Formats: sequence, C-alpha cells, structure tokens
Amino acid sequence: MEKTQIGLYLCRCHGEIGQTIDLDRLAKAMGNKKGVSVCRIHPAWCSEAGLAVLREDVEEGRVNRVVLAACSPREKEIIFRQAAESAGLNPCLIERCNLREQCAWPHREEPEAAYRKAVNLINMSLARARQAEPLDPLVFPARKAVLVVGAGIAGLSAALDLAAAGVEVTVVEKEAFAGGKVARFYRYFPRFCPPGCGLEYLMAEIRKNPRITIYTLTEVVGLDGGPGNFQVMLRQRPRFVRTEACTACGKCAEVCPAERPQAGPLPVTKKAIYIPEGFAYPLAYALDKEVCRGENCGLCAEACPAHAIDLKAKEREFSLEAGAILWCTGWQPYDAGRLELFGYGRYANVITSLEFEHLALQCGSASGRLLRPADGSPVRRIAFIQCAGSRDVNHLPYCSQVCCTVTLKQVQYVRKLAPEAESYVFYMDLRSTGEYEEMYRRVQEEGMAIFIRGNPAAVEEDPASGCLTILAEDTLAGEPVRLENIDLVVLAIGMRPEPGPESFIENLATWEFPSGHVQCFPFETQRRGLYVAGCAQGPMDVAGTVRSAAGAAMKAMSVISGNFTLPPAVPVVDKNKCDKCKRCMEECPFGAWSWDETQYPAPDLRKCRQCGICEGGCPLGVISLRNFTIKQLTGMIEALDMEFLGRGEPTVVAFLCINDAYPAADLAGRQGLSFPPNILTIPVPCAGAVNMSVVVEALTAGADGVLVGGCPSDQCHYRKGSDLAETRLNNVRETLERMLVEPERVRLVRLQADDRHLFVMEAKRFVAALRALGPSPLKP
Amino acid sequence: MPQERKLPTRLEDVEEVLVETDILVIGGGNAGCFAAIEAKKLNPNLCVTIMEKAHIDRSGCLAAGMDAINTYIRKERTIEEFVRWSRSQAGGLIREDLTISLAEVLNQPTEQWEKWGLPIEKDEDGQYRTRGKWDISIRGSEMKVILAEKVREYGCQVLNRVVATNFLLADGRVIGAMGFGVRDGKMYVILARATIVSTGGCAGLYKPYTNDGVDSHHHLWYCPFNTGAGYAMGIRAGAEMTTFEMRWCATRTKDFNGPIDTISVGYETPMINAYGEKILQERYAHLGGDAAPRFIRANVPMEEWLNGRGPCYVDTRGMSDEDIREMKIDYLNERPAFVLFLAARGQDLKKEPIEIYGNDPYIVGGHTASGYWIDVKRATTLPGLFAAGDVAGGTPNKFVGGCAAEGMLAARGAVEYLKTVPALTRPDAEQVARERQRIFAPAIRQAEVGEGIIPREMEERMQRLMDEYAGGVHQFFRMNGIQLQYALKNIRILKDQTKYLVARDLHELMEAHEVIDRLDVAEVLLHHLLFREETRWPGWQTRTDFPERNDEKFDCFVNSRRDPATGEIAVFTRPYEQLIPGDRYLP
Amino acid sequence: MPPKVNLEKCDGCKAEQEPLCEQICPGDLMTLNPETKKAYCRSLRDCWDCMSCVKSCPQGAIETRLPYQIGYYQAKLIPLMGTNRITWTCIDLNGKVERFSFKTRND
Repeated sequence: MEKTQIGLYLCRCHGEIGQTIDLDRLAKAMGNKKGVSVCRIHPAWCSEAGLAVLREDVEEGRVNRVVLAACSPREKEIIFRQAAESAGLNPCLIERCNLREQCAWPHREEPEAAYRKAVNLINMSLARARQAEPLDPLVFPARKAVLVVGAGIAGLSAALDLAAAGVEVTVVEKEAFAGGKVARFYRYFPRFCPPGCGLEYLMAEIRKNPRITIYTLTEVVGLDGGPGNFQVMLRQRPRFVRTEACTACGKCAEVCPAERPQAGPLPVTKKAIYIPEGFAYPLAYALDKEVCRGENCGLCAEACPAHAIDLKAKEREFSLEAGAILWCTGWQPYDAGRLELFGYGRYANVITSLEFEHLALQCGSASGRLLRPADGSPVRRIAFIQCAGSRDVNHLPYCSQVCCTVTLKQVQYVRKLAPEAESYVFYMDLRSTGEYEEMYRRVQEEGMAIFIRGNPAAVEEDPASGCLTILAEDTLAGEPVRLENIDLVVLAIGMRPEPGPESFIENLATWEFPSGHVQCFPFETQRRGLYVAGCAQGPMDVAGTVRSAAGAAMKAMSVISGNFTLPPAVPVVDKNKCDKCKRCMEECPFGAWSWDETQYPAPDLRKCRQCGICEGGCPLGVISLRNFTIKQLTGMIEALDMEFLGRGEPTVVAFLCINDAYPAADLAGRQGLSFPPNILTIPVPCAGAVNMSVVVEALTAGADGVLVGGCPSDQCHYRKGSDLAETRLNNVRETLERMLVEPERVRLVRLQADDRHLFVMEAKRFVAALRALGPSPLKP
Repeated sequence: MPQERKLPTRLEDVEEVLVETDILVIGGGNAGCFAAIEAKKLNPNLCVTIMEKAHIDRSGCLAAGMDAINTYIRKERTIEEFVRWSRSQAGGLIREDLTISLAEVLNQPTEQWEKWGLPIEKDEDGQYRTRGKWDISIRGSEMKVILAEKVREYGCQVLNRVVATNFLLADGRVIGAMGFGVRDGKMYVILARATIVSTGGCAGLYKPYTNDGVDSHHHLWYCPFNTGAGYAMGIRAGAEMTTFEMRWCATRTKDFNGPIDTISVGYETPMINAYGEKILQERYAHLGGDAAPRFIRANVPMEEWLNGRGPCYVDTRGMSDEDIREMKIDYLNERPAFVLFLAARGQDLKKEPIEIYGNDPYIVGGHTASGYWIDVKRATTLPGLFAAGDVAGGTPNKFVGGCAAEGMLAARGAVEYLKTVPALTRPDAEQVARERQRIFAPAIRQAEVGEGIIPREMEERMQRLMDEYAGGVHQFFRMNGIQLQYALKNIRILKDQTKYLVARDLHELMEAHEVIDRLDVAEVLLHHLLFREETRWPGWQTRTDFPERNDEKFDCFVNSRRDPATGEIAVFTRPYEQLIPGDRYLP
Repeated sequence: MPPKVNLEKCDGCKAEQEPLCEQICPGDLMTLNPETKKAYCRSLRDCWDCMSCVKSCPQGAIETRLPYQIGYYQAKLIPLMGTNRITWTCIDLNGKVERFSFKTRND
C-alpha cells in the first residue's frame, strides 16, 4: 500500500477562524503528527488560489489524503470534491475538520480553549483520515421503464406523465376495467364535472401513446431486485373476451342466461358477461367466471359476430423488468358493517357515501330523480353522518380528509336530483379546507342542509315504512335531537388503503398507509425505487391524487433516468467475526438485510439507505459503513486528549446526527452563540449508527460524558434510529448505574435542525452537570 | 434460519447429517483451533472441519480467558533446560521425545497470537515480560475469541454445538466420528481422511468440595464442560492410554477453586500455614523448597490441614497496592469471577491473605502425563487418529502454549498422513446404526418408558464414589487397594445402569453422554491407580497401602488398553527412555 | 445463582435464532424462555462463572452473582466492553469500589 501522506490544510477563512485560533501555533503543533507530510495555512482554501495549491500538492505526489481544517463539512463540499477529483484524488480521502462553525465561532471569547479544542479536532480528523479508503459511487444500470400498479386516476395520470418523459410504462389493474373508484362517481368536486370527462381525456391520451401498455385483471404476485431493475411477477386472470376483437355490440349479453347477484343495497342487474355503463376502458366485454355457466352453455360465444369470446382462456403468469414501481392501488371504504349503531347492513336505506355516488349516478342518468334503494320511492328527507369510522380510536384513528367535502358535494346532488328534499348533516367538525370553504359557504347560504353538531347515538328503522329515526345530541344547543321519517342515511365513510401493498411494502407510518417520512419523503416506502401515489399514500381528493401522481412520477424518474447511483458508504460485515445473531436484520428499518449464499447477513445495497443503524446495533461491532468504521471511530477517540482543558474540566464526546443535531450545532456557531468548548463533536449519519461499544470506548478512554444527538422520535429520517439509540443508551446507563458510575454521563438529546438555542442550552447544562459530578470514575 | 429443537422420540425420526472432510478436528478449544489453522496453513485446499460441542468463540479452557502463557522459552533459555524443568516438576516421568519436539515449536503459537492482536507485555529489550521462569503475562480475556476469528478467516468449517460420541472405525483405522447436534437433535456422521482429537481433559470425575448446595456444583478450577469425551472415545475404540494415575490435584484458592500460580508465581508470595510458617521453605526445603516439584507444592496445604496446621494461605499481605491491583487484573483476564469472590468476602489482601486448598482431581494431559499414548507426530495407536492438548498424554506442563503447539504438531502429522489415505472410507451401516441407537437411547427411553435415571443423579453417585474410594479431596487424596476395588465394582454397576438413563431434552441428552464418558474414564483410571502399587507423586497419587516410591517396579509408564470386543482392560508398562542426561528429579 | 438476567433489559436478542448468551455459553446453560422470549440459565448449579454471557450480552442485561454458599450478598463485578478495551467495576460487600481498565486486543 502506498505510504500515507496527509496534507493538513488550515484555513483562516478570511479571519473567521484565524482571528480566534492561532493557526501558526496550530501548524507547528500538528505539522509533524504521524502521517502528515504537508501542513499549510491559507486565507481561504476554497478560493481559486487555495484550490490551486491543494491540487498541486496532490499532483506533485506530496499528498494522498487531505485533512481540511476549515468550515463545516456541510459547506462547500462540491468545490473541494471537484478540486480533488481534477487532481486525481478520490474525494473520499478528503477529511473535513470543522474548525469554523464548531470551534472558532462559538468559542470566540476563549481563544486558548478554542486552540486546544482545535488540536483535538484535528487529531480526530487525522486518525480518521489515516484509515480512510478511496471509494467510488455505486452504479447500477437502470431500465427506463416503470411499472404502475393500479389504473385509477393516480396510476393513469402518472403513466401519462412518465410516458411523456420517454419512459416505457406498464400499467396493471386487477379489475376488468380501468378507471378505479372515480369511474363510478357521479361528479368530481369542486367543479362538478363528470368523472367520465376527466377519465376519458386521460384514456384518449393513453390510447394514442405507444409507450403505455395496460394489463387488466392483472396483479403483482412477486417482486425481486431493486431500483434500476426490479423483476416483477404478474398474474393475469382470463377475460374470456379478446379485447382487440370485441366491438362491444352487446349481443353476448343479450343471450347470456346467467345474472350477477346483487352486491350491496343498490339494485345492480348485470349479466355474467358485462361492460360498465357509460365509458369503459377497455371498450370490450368481460366475463365473470363466478356466475358464468361455462363452456357447456356457450351461448355468448355463438352469438358473438366477431368471434371474440374464448371460454377456454387460461390464467397466465408473466414477468417484466422495471426500473421503478409506482404503487397506485387506491383506497377502500372502511367496513361500515362495523359501525353497528348506524344500522348499516341491517337497514336497506342506510348506505355509504361511496354507494351514494353510485345511486346518484344511476338515478341521475336514469330518471333524474333520487330514489330510495329499498323500494324506489322518492327521497324526501336525507341525513348525512360525518366521520363514519374516522377520527375514532376504535376504528380509524385519523381524519379521512375528504368526507366533509364529499358530503358538501352530495348535498348538492340532493338539491339537483330531489330539489324538495331536506338534508341534514350530523358532524363533529366540518373540515372543508382551502378553496372548498367556498362549497361550504354555498351550501349554507343556499340553505341546502341543516347542520347538527353531534354524532348520532343510534339509527332505528320502522320496518313497515323503511323510514329511519336518528337519535343524537345537538352539542351546540345542548339538547337531544330525534329526527324521524328519514328516507336515506348516508354514512360519510372513512378511507383505508387498499390491502395488498403490505406484502411488498412494509408500512412505515404508525397508521396504515404505507407512506414514509410523511413530510420529507412522502412518496418513499421501505423499498427504494418503489413509490406510492394517490390514496395508497393517504386519504386525498381527486385533485390531490393527480398532484401526488405527478410527484411520484418524478421520484421514479430520479431512479431510472440514466444509471442509478448511490454513495459508497455501504455497510460491510466482517464475516470472520459475525456470529449471525440477526440483529442487523431485525433492526434495519428498510429490510435491507438477508442471508447471503454463505449464510452470513448481507445488505441489499439498493435497499440500504446507509443510515448505519446496523453498525450501531451490531453486538459484536462487526458491521461498519465504509469510511465510517468502528475502527475509525475508536481511532478518533484514542487520539483525544481527554484533559485538554485542564484537570477538572470535563471532556465530552458528542456524536451528532448529520441530519438535525449537527446542523443545529453549526447554526449555533454561525449565529455566534457560544457553547462550552468541552464538547468534541463527531458527525454521524444517524444517532442509531452509534455503536455502544464506541460510547463505552469513549468513557473508558477518559471522556467524562458522552452526548448523542438525535432527532425527535417521529422525525428520524431513518424512522427509528434515534429511538433505538435511546434504548441502547438506556441499557448502558443502567449498567453504569450498577457500576456506581453516574448514568447522567451518557445522554441523548433530541434536536431539530434549527434547535440552536436548545443545543447550546443542552451543551451548557450537560457540561455544568459533569463539572458538578467531577471527573469520571472510569477515567484511566 | 429458525432452528427446530426437538428431542427425537423415535429412532427412525432421527435425521442424519453426513459431512465429508479431509481433516476432522474434534474439540475446538485451544489445541483444536491451532490444529485446524495449521492444517489450512499447510494446505489451504484441504477441507478442515471442527466439531465442537459448544461454540468455538468461548469453548474449552479459555472460555473465561487466560492471564499467562506458562510455557515460553525465552532467548536465553534452551530446550534442554525446558525438558529438565518439566521432567523434575512431573516427578521424573515424562516422554522426553515428545517434550523435545514440543519445545521446538513451543513459542510459535504465542507469537502468532500476538500478531493476531493479543496484548502481551514486553520488557525493555523487546522480549515478552516473564513472571517466574517460563511464564509470560498476557491480557487474554478475549484470546479465544481472537483465535476463533482466525479459524474462520482461514476457512475452516465449524460445526458448533455438535457433540462427538464415538469414532468411526474401519479395519482398526479411524475414518471419522459420529455425534449429535445439541441444537438440532440430528445425528452427525463425519467422514474424514484423518482425525485429530483435542477434546481436553476430564473434569467432574470426583465430587468437588464446593458441591454443598444447589448452585455451586461447578465451582471447579478446570473447565467443567471438559468431560473426557476424547479419552472415552479412545478407550472404547481400543486406543492405548497412558499414566491416568497421574491425576491433577492442585493447590487452588479455597472455596472458589481459582488458580494460584497467578499469585504465587506471578507475585512470589509465600505459602503459609495457620501458624504463619512458610511451608515450602520450612518444611519442604529438602525437596527443593519453593522450587519443589509441582505435586509436592500441590499437596502442601492438604498435608498441613491433615496435620492440624490448616488453614493455609498464600500470603498477600506483603504485596504492594500496585501488585495487588495488577494481580486482580490478571484474574480478570483468566477467572474474573475470582475478583468478585474476593469482593464478596470483603477481603482486603493487605490484611487478609488468600486461603488455599486442594481441588477435586482431574485427568488433564496438559498438566500431567495422562492421555493418549502418542508418537512424536502425535499419532495415537489407532491409525488415522492424532491427539493434541489436554487429551494427549506423555507431556506434562504443556499448559496453554504447549497445547496450542501440540495442536500444530498434530496437524502436521495428520496432513502427512493424508498422503497415505487418498480417499474417504465409507463406514459400515451397522456401526452407524448401533451408534444412533446408543446416542439416542436416553431420549427413546424417556419417550417409551417415561422414567429412569437422570444424568445428574448418576453423575453425583459417580462423583461421591470416586471421591470417597478413589482418593478425592475429602479423603486428602489418599486411597488403598481395597477402596479402589470397591470403587471399581460400583463403577461397573453404574456402567451397566447407563441403559436406564433418560433425557428429557437435548441438553440432558448431552449430559447423559457426559456421564457415560466419564464412567469409561473412571474405570480406566481405577485400573491405573490399582496397578501402580507405590506412591510416586504424593497427592496426585497417594497409596496408603504402598506409601513409598518403588523405582524397581514402577520407574516406567503404566499404560492400558481396553479390548473393544470384550471390554476387558489390560494394564501394562512401557519403559522410560531418557534422552536428556542428568538427574531426572532435578531441574 | 450465577447469571442473573435483567428481564427489563433482555430483549431475547430479537432474533429467531438463539440469543447471544445461548449461542456463547460453553456449558449450553443459557436459553430462551419460549413464553417470555427472555433468556435464563437452565441450570444454575452447572455455571462455571466464566462470564462469557455477561460479556456477550448486547444489552448489558446479565450480571454474574456468585452462589451464596461461596460469596456473600451482594458484591458486584460488571464488565463494560469497549471496542478494544474492557473496563471492570468491582463493588465489594462493604460497597468499596474498584475499577480496572485494560486493552483486550490490539488492532
């Protein structure tokens, strides 16, 4: 191996560092450290002149690793990376030492302490640099093809966006016809256009687009591979009608003797061979095998003038490759049968809001009059019950977001289809956000409904008339309400994700929708390259769904446009030391680990997010992210002078998460907030990446305290890193307590990126507490 | 990979695993791991398999660690010196040929270990710092873990939690071994072109005096999980064994049975009796005082007790604070719980010395000469079988470094032997079927009969018998022919009763075989003790009916061989061969 | 009662396979209670007090206690494993604390 020649570059940063830290003294002290071949000071290494010196040192062979003692590693990364690359140095061999944000700036008032801290920080950087290895990004060839699962409004609009960007798109739909739930809506809000209009537009575009292929009656049954090239196994059930030959003339249905049974309270009479009313995609009949009398009957096949019917068609399985996958499987209504007090399933005139859409669609297109499902008599009094299933810890703990607006829309159906009818709305809070407030106002101003604040306690039926009585308490008036002679009760039913994704995507959120970090990575799932859009992501309306689809399409593009590259800091297992305890598999938030062919754990590099939670949890410390190894961290700790501020002054080793806690410390420095120089920070990819053996190593090497900075519980970018850190640190604290070492010496702080004041306060408090405790009993 | 843990209830349910390997190492302790690595170093293409009943990371004597390598030949010392020293310590009876060949490679494992990361202290001139003549101090808390990592790094195949029960034989040759998985309940049939046995010595033959309650049965000095499997397998297969009568009874810390070399050798603390007399200097000056042979030193506190001068101590009161601290660090590296023991007694070593006492006798060839009769290549009398470490006889005072070195020698012997065995030999089915029946009998009995003898009961009966009638610690290691005959008669009854053993889980099945193995060892031991009608090593072997040494008849090795066909044990002698001149009783 | 498992801290190593103490115990004594999924010592009398389980427990959930017949209640000896270093704390019968720290391997 080539001899280590570290170039140590001290930056004055135009005085920002130089004024506080005596760099000439520092250069003298550090210039002859092990492995340092060159030590230079410059007013600004990021300047053209500075970079030129740096490049020359590399090109002339004086330097093969760089320690840059300057600003925060979060700043100017590209500048130094490009300079290194142009001089032929692997950028992984640049080690940044944060002398500005976390030394010169916060310790302006204490130049001597700042100097001594700088010595320690540089010693750590040198220790780390000595063991740094040159690495190149991981490159995976990507197939410019996307699989869209679900041909609802989300899937179809994403498909169109992707195809427009030149991507091969395959859409699979488990039903016989595309369009999803909205295809059977009466109207969209807020513009009250018929869904057929929007869908028809999408389908027309898709039909024209050769890059889009749609498979109906098809489901995903297996998934392998990763971003760039997923292998997807699909299963397609037979339609028994050749789509390309069928003319939708309907002669088959005329002769079909088998009728489909009625599902739900609404009368539906359809033959075994059927096609939706209105628009249909594809425009071809499908045969319901459940009710078809089979080949022996064969009347339809005989009747078909196009010979499009094949009753012998078989199910088939096939596979395809995709660079990314969009999961657009939509939603389903909450099981209204579980809301027993509303009588759904027992009383024919209690229906869900989704069924009301179908009812409105039927009535609207047929008689134009709103009729009761039970007996077809006109509706005169109708009640809507909000939050049917939603916002109830016993049912759906969340607000389904769209139901209020849906009711406001459906109240207007009533006005249109039954102008004389009275509408009542039972609600807890009406949530018509954004411009939907306008709908609410219109409904109120035009007196379209009477709003009663209260959740009904019971719905009862008069069996003779089929009329319903609602018992509730009006919480505004503070009196009981009894509403009789109601013809129709509509439950504004809550939304749940369509089941299915669980087998491929483990849910990341605490609720049931498989969205990732709700705020920062809303499209992400546990599986990289697989993104969710539309109501699979969470409850949303049609407008939101279309926006969501566009976003998810963009996420897919980021994976498949060109090669899929990842940073090289992947976890590596030392198989000679691993004892296969499986904790890495258990704790990885992304399910990236599995057994390799030698029966050792191995990460799927494309699933891995390089958070280091495996490194932090490995009981034997045999997993390390490359260039963030436990060996390096140990070396850094061993390089520290644990009494650098003098006897009695505590030394704190702080592992700060690069996502939140470390930026907070940087921000404190930038804003000139001073915090105790006793704190020596080491940036870590996640609080969960800190192995407890490293914490113990710091304590036994003489640190008086160890601080781990993580994110608030629900904000961790890696879902559970900071919570795992807390559990692990609590274990160490308990052990310390038994050892009669103050457990307060080990502390987890949860910081948000802008919590600079909190960071300063925590730092001060921690150092003060350690000072009061006195030197650590574990000091050697 | 969830594992199924099922104790088979029917013989036909037992799943059989067939493993084929070039070299099989039975017992992945110190010697076994070194043997495996050496074989791989000699030929990386060989398939080397370790069969280990625990997990090689922490199995065998080094589980808790080690604070010293007791045999390291410094630059200024010679092999001859080493042989003389070892010979005198063992009362003049060692295999000099074996000791010389061992001494030639003795330092290699230690140096290797250091390269692998074991911290060893050095003095100013860069040599290892010694304590006493042949000892060097190490920080061996993790030395077995380090060794196990290297075993994997060299590409050896490791079968953890697989207990060996018998060798596979073909025409008198060892062609592998059989056993069962303690985790998976499967039968293992391992075919090997050469086999190395390194299962360690045998603890638990005798009742320990700490065995006075529910929780302290295993407060032994020697690893209680070394239960003589290797000896027993050899005995059953008709291998020649040597010098079992040279038992290892040592001076240990009282009640904890911790090592005392750490204190007495490491820190030169004198042994004193209840009246403060420095026992070795004042009562054993004629036998060399502090340098008296090991068996003399070992027996000293027991003799003092017997003569009304107990208790005895190693006198720590003169130690400096720094030395006491260093000594505790030594213990933390070898038997950390001893430091806990001192704390649990609230003992201030500056004021109260450490009490000492004898331990229950063990058969352990790393310390005495008991074990397989082998040649310089470490080949046993069974072709295809090599032995190393505590299981191999003839070379006392090997200790950690010597056992490791012997592992290397056995591997060299085995690799050379491979040249004569081009292919694996298939075992006859009947042999495998018989062993399957033998292995799982206690489980089947539990399923079919539902009651019998649990291994623990039989173990306790055996241990009391041996203790009381075969010179255990409660009898101050004394025995006579009549007592030994009584013990033998009862051991035979126990052996016959093993057919009533029951096992309710896989762990208990392992315990059942541990007691079966120890009964075989005990039987041979009794034959050896009966045969040597003299007292050669007081303490280790004290015959009250023959209290004197009888060089005319017994200045030789006592060997034995069990006839696999009849079960008869023949005991006979082998002459002593002196290679290094000088008085064999002096260093 | 040699290895005492702190049931609050023990997480059964979360694995389907054996927990680390079970994997490592040279006497095959540590095992998992199938109901609680916590580790325990199946036969206290057979423990050698080698402390392998204590050292290997990732949660620091195991403490070695000497059998009472051997040592009085309630002295403690607790190791803390760093990456290359071990630190022992010993608390004697009277509450006196001693600490020892040394390297266990060089890299």
